[in-house]
Amino acid sequence: MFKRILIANRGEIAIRIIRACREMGIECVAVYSTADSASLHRKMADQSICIGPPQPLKSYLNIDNIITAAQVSKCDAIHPGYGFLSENERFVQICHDNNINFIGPPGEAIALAGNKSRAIEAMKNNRIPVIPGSDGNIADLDSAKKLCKRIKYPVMVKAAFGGGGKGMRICQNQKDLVEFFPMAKAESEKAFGVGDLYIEKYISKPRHIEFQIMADSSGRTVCVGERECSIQRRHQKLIEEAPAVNLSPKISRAMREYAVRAARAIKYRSLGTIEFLLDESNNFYFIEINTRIQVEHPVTEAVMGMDLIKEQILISSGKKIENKKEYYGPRGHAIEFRINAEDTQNDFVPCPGKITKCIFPDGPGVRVDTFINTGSIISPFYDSLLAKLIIWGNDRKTAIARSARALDEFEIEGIRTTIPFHKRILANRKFIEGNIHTHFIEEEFID
Amino acid sequence: MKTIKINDITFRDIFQSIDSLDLNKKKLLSVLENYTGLEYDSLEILGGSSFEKILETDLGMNPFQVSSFIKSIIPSIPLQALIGAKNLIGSEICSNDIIEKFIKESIKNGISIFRVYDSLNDIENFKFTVSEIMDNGAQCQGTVIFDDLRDSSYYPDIASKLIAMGCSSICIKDAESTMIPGKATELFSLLSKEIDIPVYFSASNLRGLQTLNYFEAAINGCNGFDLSFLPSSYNDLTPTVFSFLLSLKGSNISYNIDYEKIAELGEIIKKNIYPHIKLDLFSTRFILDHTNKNLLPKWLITEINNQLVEISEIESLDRVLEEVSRIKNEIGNPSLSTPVGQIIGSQAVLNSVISDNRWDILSDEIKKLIWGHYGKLPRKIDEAILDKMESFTEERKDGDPIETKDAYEECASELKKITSEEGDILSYCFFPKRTAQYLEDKGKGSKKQKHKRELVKITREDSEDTDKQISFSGLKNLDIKKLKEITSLVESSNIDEIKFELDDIKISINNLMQTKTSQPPQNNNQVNTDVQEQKPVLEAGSVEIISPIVGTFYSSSAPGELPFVKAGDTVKKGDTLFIIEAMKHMNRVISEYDGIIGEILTQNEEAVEYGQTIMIIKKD
Repeated sequence: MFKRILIANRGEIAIRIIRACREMGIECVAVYSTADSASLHRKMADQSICIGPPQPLKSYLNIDNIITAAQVSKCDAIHPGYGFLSENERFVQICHDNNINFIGPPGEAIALAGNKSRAIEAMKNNRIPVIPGSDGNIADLDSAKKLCKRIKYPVMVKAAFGGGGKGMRICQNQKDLVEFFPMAKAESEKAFGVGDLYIEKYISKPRHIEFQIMADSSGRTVCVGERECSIQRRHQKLIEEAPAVNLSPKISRAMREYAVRAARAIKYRSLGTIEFLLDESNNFYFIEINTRIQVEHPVTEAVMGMDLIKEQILISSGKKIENKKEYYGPRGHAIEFRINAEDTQNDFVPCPGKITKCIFPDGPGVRVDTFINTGSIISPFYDSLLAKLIIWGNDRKTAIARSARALDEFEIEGIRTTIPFHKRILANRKFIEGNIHTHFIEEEFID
Repeated sequence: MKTIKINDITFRDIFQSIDSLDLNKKKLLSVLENYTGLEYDSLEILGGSSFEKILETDLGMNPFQVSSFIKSIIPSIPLQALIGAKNLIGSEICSNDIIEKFIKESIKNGISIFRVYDSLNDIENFKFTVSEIMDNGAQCQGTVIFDDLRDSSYYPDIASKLIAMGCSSICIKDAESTMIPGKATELFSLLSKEIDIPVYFSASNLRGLQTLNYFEAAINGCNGFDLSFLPSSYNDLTPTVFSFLLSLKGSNISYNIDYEKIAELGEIIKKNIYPHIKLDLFSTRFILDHTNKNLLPKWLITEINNQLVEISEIESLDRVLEEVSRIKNEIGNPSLSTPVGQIIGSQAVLNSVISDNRWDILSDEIKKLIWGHYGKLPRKIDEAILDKMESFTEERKDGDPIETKDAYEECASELKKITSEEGDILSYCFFPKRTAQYLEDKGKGSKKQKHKRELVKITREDSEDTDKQISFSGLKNLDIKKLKEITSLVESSNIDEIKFELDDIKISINNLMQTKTSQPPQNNNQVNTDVQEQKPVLEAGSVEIISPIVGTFYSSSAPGELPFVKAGDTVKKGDTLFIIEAMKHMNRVISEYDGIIGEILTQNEEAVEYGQTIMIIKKD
């Protein structure tokens, strides 16, 4: 077992890891940038080391300073949390070269998962469904027509170098395709200098459903439940639930079997998440693998009655997964709300500043993972996540009622947060009914 | 014998320059009572930053209520407000709804004259505001910002357009203090020939020429003047009433004010108000240092200066001021009054301090300014700048060029539970934070005023240096997105350290890797660390040498060797001071100074963290 772990992160996740370590009798070393010198994670750790100025590149992403900090403080492992260096294969390699355990998957798995086309290729080879589309770029309109006939409309024409919706067109039928294809090509040429396009099946109201998997060093891989992350705004998750909402047991079982197969396909180790899109006719498609502990892990913990951070540390230290079961059943329903420092009335722009008052909700079924308190200063250098409110109830209805109660108790003053926006979502009929998909926020709240 | 009119701007200056917490109703009253019997033609009480400042004071009234209060004490003198045609008292374009409500509320509270200016002198910008003022039965003084690159013939032309709109007087505002006596002679003789309504002259006294200019203007037919009891003010220096009136002795020009009486009033103001005015306002060193080289309004220099102090870039002041002039020149020489001054000031900081190359980062406001969204720029824009703008063309919106949020209803509903007072809501539209604080204090009554003081005190203690706690309103134009851009830019540049305040948030971007002259990173709350840090008291001329990385400290090149330096040694720039080992690399730290080694605070082979002070050097 590890004796001392360096936590190469900040904010709520650093504190979450410190808590797990405390309970396991492992000492922890916090690292911090000069902007975080008053931060709670620093105070809670057994020891703390300043690793640089506020900008992430010079502190939380500064591999040399972090490795040296682990060496001078004699740590035998580094927990990267999420973000920052958590999915950096070079960092994993450097940890290895310096005889420090990296708490996470091997570098090769990170590299493979991080390369989208290689990951998709690996999934296809293992007969895991992926979103149908062209293999690479599509040469001309004729081959586009043929392809679309095969994968069926609607389809999406995308610029190979695009991003953020630029050069992206949805075609409902062949007529649209004939009209849009040259336009998209011209647009892409103008915007990116290259007219390369590819085509993908368009899923109009997809749900984002992901599966938490765990794999030990012997390759034993289990799935510990699913999460629904369809409440997103511009691909940023806002609310996560476990289990997925109104998902038929049959589909759920099929998806988690594929999830385990996907993890095995890339020889995954440690904790990870397999993400799928689910369409309205219950077809599902692999989208990506997250090779880290995720922000939304507490909803799984709440319904599974387990501590994923502890499991992650145990697996990295070589412990085997004992239970023979490949899947554990959930109990009740959990919802997580991301409380971000964002102005929801102004395009969700980050709102750094000083928190003048902060009252946390409490009572049955309420958990708050956070690093803030009255007087905390939210720096503009890091992400805007202030706290995660995790609610558990016997069923979804109870959990929703409890969530509304807890959000009412939650007070943050001094900066704007997503709390009022969450309250609005909770009052939405479609949300209550579980009629959700990834465009839910755009359709219901943003005109 | 001709009689001139006097617009007293003492109150606006008081509101702008007073150490705000100290101004209460009683003190204001002691001054106001002594105005009775003085025949001023108008008192300019609101405008510029006075509006926001009033909310900070212990007066317990919103600016409209202050106006109403002043009116109740001295009902005989007309009250005047200075407003931007489109931006009123803020730096953003207002919706017509807000303009309408603002004017009505001002009039309801005793304002009867509006001095309306537009920083670009764009006649189109005046239309709505002027007609609102006329419709509500108040007087409008159409104001032309003086532009020293224009021929004198420009002024009667634009003045007659303002008269055609219904303005009952005209004001020439020398916002940048570029007027010279010869020009005043020419300009006001021409105006008095062509304009048959009163012409006022308003000027700041940056170059000490305004009394001369005023005199020339008076002799040549100018009808009214801005004068003040204060020797200086926060935003600019308005000529004092005493020297100008004295200069008229023996001329054929008279005034309605009893000189003896204002001398008494001057004494009262000196006793009751001067002690509360910020001390630095009386310092002229600043102006002598800079304004002769770069003729910019004092308020703008002050804001840029404060900004640069915050980011430890004060040496760049001259460079930034030059950049302001350069940008001004490149974009057609618009006048540097609100909001154009702020926009150019922000861009100058971006151009000369933040980014490596000029015009690498553009604020949204400068884009809008160049595209003419604030109005027509007076002259041609440099071709090179227009080329730069090409890549942003798609951001450009035609039709309604500047989105004016219909904020009034929104503000009203936000305040629904607290107040329905129109003046409060309007204040909130412009200065939401300040107004919210004001309403909160007011709601809690006098006991809580004390609480407010404490709050302010705490903020000051938090900061390293009280003097640097002045926020830079010129940069408020930058939003958070912009800030992120800056941050990433700074990360990839060689800039050492940047600190500034945006609203109430202190932001610092720190690239410092070698040595620094101020405090080490604040590690007061450090718990249980074996990497100890020490905080020596620095003597003047001493610098701390900090560890640029995490690692192990070595005082010599190898075990058993003599240390590179020891206390008392003389070092030259470029000498090796010590080694920090990290990742099996020996990193030499080189002295950036000539000097003598003071204390060495770290033991050989001790582990050190980033920013830890290793030793002190007394600079030569």
